[in-house]
Amino acid sequence: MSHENRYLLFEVGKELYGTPLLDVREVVEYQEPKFMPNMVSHFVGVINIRGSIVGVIDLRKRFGEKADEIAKTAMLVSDTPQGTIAAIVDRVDSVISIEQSMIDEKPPVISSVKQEYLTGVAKAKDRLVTIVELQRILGDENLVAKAA
Amino acid sequence: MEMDLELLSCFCDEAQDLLVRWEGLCLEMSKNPSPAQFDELFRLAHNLKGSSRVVGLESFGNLVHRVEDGITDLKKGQVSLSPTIIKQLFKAQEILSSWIGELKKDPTHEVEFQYFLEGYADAFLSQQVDSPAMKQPPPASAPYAPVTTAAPAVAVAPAVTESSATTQADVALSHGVPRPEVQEKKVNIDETVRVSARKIEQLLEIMGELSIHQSVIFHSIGGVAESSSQLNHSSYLARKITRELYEKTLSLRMVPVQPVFQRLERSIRELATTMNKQVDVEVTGGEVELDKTVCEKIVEPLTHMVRNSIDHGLEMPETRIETGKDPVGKVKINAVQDSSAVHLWIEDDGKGLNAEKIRAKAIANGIITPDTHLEPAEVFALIFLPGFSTAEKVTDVSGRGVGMDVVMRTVESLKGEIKIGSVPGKGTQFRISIPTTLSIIDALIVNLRGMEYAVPVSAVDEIIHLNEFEYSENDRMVRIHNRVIPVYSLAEALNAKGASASVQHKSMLISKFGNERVAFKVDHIIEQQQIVVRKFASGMEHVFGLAGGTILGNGHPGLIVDLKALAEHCVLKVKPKMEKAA
Repeated sequence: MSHENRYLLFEVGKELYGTPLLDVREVVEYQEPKFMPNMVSHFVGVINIRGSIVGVIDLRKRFGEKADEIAKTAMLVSDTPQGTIAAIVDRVDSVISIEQSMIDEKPPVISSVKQEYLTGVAKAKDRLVTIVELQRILGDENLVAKAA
Repeated sequence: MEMDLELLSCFCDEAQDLLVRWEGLCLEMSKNPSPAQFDELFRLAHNLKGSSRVVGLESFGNLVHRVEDGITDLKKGQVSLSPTIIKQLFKAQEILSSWIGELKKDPTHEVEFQYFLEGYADAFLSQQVDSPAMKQPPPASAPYAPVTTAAPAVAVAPAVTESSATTQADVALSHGVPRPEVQEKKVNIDETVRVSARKIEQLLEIMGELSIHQSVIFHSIGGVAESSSQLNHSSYLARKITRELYEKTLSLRMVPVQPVFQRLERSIRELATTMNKQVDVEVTGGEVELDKTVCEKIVEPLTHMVRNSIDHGLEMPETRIETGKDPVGKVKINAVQDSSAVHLWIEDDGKGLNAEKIRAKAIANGIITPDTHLEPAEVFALIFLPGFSTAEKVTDVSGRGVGMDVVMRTVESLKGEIKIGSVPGKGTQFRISIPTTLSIIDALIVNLRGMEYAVPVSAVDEIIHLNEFEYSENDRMVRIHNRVIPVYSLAEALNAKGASASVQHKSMLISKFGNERVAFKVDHIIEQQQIVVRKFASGMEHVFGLAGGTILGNGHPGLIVDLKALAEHCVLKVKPKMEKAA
């Protein structure tokens, strides 16, 4: 099976998202990030993954969802142009294949994700899946807060 | 010809080593020439020619071949060594070196060298020792081997005779030192094994990880009261050995500074000659080792510094005689290694830095105001500021826009420092200190609002326990050793949030920016620990107040506080106000 059409599905808030499987280096158990000062607000700290310091982004905050504390269960680790970044998600669902033709690239729906990160919307498991590129979302901007 | 890229890269590395030695030989020759140097240079050129042809670099080989012809003449005594010849040999080395540099980027790179060869041949022709009557045919083994090094000796190809200034007939018997022309043994500059930098990088990463886990084990065992003494002992030893192993691995990347010094020596000589100045260069400590990347980075700045010494420091011979000095100036280059750093010294016995002139210049450039009070050392340090140049006119030698500020920036990027000492009329002395083990440092683990942070010990001037001083929580100043210094909360300066609000501060860390001291209060100091510095990913770099990350003894990620940067920030924040008040 080609990896090209494989997507990892995960939940953030109530929404189901899908990202190309190859955008995800690994999935790790949630660990409490250590606060790091002077960073942008959705950057919530650093964790230790096998001896490396890895920055953590809270996808709820990134997607502008309410950051109320419910089950943060997993972290998706991705190698981005900004370095290795872990993203907090509420739940990892599954890995499925979605044909390119099944992805509606100009969906009329209003998603909480900014249009620029949205690749499209697909239907899977009787739900709407918002297709995003995790690598781009995590790595497209500097994470250091602008000096006050 | 089909080019094997891997072979080519091997060749380039080897050629670079050979060319470094070539340069060294030329320097030796210019001091005290001996026949042994001609022999070695010949073997070297020969080797270079052979291997360049193996990888298919025909025209490179041809150039070396033509250069080799000249060396053969020297070796046989048909030509006597002259400064012009040494200059040409240097020039050849330069052309070949830059060719190699280009080949690394573009394997098909070609260089036009005909023009050089004409000058080269002329230099040799003019020094020919001519006694044609005495000359004999060359020995059976020719100074020339074919592409394959397997055959011990091959007759001279006709091409050689027509291209070289030498003809088969003019080898003088009287100079015919009986010596095999083709050496079976390869020229080994050093007994080394080539290892790719990436492999060492990987090894270092694994070692770093191992050190972290070792440290975690060590601390966990320390926490178990009833752990047996044997376990404690083993854990202690394992930690010690891991540390040693890490240091040994780090040292794999170390190279001697000799080639760097050699380049400096050469720049000095060349510049002195063009400026009609006389100079004696003394190089010591070339065996001291530095990280390869560090060596590469400091070559340019150091060259700039020595050129400055010759251009601005050293006087003309007449002036030196007038002031009662030896007409021949002296430049000393030295490297010394101590426990934490490598110190590079550049000393000249020229006219020294003119503090008055530097001051005036800084005022003219708006760097300082006329009433700024500065210690002599601070005045000298002004030359490292951007836009500052003591050169009165822009010369072709120094002062081309790249100033000493570039030197400073490079040294700072290596976490090093520069000290200047200068006595008018006697000379100037620069000391560049570069810390050696950047990756493992001693750090204080401090508690800020319930969170642990690491502060490099090197950035802390002094630790003050507050109960020993007259200080109350809201005081903005504290008097220490009869000096009043401002107090900041480290947590606030860093914008550190934490689980708990600040408790009563128990300690202060004193740090310096320039000559200003700043006190940072911390909740308390937990312990001192050796930590492995981890660079942040690119998206997290240049965070205000943080120098990097680490994994603490308990396995948690830790942040390393850049105390010096915070001190700088605090000092600069209040400075304008102080100046206005004054």
